[in-house]
Amino acid sequence: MNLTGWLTPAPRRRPRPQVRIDLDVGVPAWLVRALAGAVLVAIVPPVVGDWVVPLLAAAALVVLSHLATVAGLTLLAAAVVWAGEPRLVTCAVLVLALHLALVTVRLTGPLGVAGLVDGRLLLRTGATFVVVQLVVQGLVGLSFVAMDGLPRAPWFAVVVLVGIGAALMAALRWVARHTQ
Amino acid sequence: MILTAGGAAAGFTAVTVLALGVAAGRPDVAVLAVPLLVTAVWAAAHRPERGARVVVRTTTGRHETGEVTAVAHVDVAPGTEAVLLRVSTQGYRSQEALVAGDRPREVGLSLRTSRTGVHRMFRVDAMTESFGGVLVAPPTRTGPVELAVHPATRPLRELPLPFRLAGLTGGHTSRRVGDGYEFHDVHEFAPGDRIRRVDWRVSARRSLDVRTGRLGTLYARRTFATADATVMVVVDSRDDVGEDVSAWAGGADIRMDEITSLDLARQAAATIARAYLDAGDRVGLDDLGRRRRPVPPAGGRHQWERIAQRLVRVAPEGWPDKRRRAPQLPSGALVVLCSTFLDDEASRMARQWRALGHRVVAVDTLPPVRTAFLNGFQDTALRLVLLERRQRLRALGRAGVELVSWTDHPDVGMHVLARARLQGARR
Repeated sequence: MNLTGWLTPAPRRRPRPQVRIDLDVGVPAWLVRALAGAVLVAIVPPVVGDWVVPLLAAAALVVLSHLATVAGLTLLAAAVVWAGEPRLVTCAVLVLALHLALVTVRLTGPLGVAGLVDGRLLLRTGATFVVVQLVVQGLVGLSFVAMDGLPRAPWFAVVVLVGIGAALMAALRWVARHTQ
Repeated sequence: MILTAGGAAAGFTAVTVLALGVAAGRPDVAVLAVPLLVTAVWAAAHRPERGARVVVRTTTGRHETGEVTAVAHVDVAPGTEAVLLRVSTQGYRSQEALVAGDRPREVGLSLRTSRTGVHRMFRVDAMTESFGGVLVAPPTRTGPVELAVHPATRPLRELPLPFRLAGLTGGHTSRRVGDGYEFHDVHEFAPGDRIRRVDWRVSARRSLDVRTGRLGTLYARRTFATADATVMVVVDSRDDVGEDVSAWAGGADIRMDEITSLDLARQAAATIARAYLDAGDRVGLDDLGRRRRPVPPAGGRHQWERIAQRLVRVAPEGWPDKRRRAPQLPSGALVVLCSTFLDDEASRMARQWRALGHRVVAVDTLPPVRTAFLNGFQDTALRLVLLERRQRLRALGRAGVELVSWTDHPDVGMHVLARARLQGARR
């Protein structure tokens, strides 16, 4: 009886060969995710004063690249901003980070780790990202300018909530009617 | 288009955060939701009317062992931001790509294969996505397409010839007297000899009458006639075994990056047929695994195309009946039998052909076997099978069948056979 047999490594089959999609420029999805995660880790901790949560958020983005992850990150960012004093830099960086996460998820979410992102799509998405980011950062600036002027009466909040809820319902019904 | 779960979650979260921010008078909170909202609104406003249409086409040209290519033509509707493509083929890992959907485009597909024959390749699943991937169209499937992968031929310098050359013209010198180049003898001029064959010098030396100054008998030079060879290439398509012995019984897929016995048989048959056809000989093709009409021997480029088309479609089919006697072949033909000789059928045919007077070359197409994944019982069974096969091949040698291993320098083997002087060889 061979008592040392379990120490011998079992033969392993080589991985099967892969079909190739020949794009002019194809960037691996894992590279896009890793770059986005690195950018998040680089820009978020200095403004929130914490490393653990941004690291976890970046890891979540890399591992679970899904729109629901971005939704969770948005809630997390809202909680962070809500808990602290309003600061323009913090808000601007978080908006930038959330938008970056959204674009990353859009590009790599449907793909596996070894999937390819078309270079042309990367360029188009990057251009859209810049334009939207300019608009959103403008909104951030405007919001801080107008922050003191907003009414804080409860009745106003109720009206706004009802309006947003109605708009949301109308939007969802429109989407449902036009997509099924 | 369908709203994705992620898109719905993102939209709901964005609205919630916006509402909370506005309600609490915190624009710095509310503005966090703007990127998500912009994406969702833009996606709803610019959604594509239909999904992408994908057509997979094979590229023109002949596919040979190695790189196989195809093209996926992606036709998109306005509003499409991206199309998710997943390309898969049996025996391969699939590949995914997210390509821009701003205009119709052609995407190249390729894979590397060591296999030959007809395979179904390049199944493409496509899913159309709107801006931000918020809305998607139901996935569509295209393909796979049938692709014929031809074996790559290799050059052979010298080839064995049949015992008897039956043709009337060709590139080889036969033992028959006729039109040719090699000198045979000088004999008296006879009806049927051409005037230009008269050897005036010999005639003057042997039959000149010095008194009258006239020639008595004319002598003509005779040459060996040239002739072409008739070759029948017979492929044994009943076996298709790869290098991994654990896949012989069908428990595992045969890898696409490893050759099988049938790939070797196709390559050997194509190489030998091509070499004989290039030499001006007549080549035919038969299949031991199928009861269908063989490709009769003929020469020329069209015959090569005929043989190549038949060869690429040679494949094991069911469990063929045992033959009572060997297929009938043209008289005096050289028989090249490509088989693994894992059972008695092919060797029995070879012995019958040899007994009928054919010169028979048995090409062994069993690839080098790998036994890493066999258990003890399987390993013993394999040893027995290989031992039987070795005895079978020895018996063939004793019966006068010549053997060439296609995995071990076949050009050298064919060269040796071409140079061999065989008993009973009469050309």
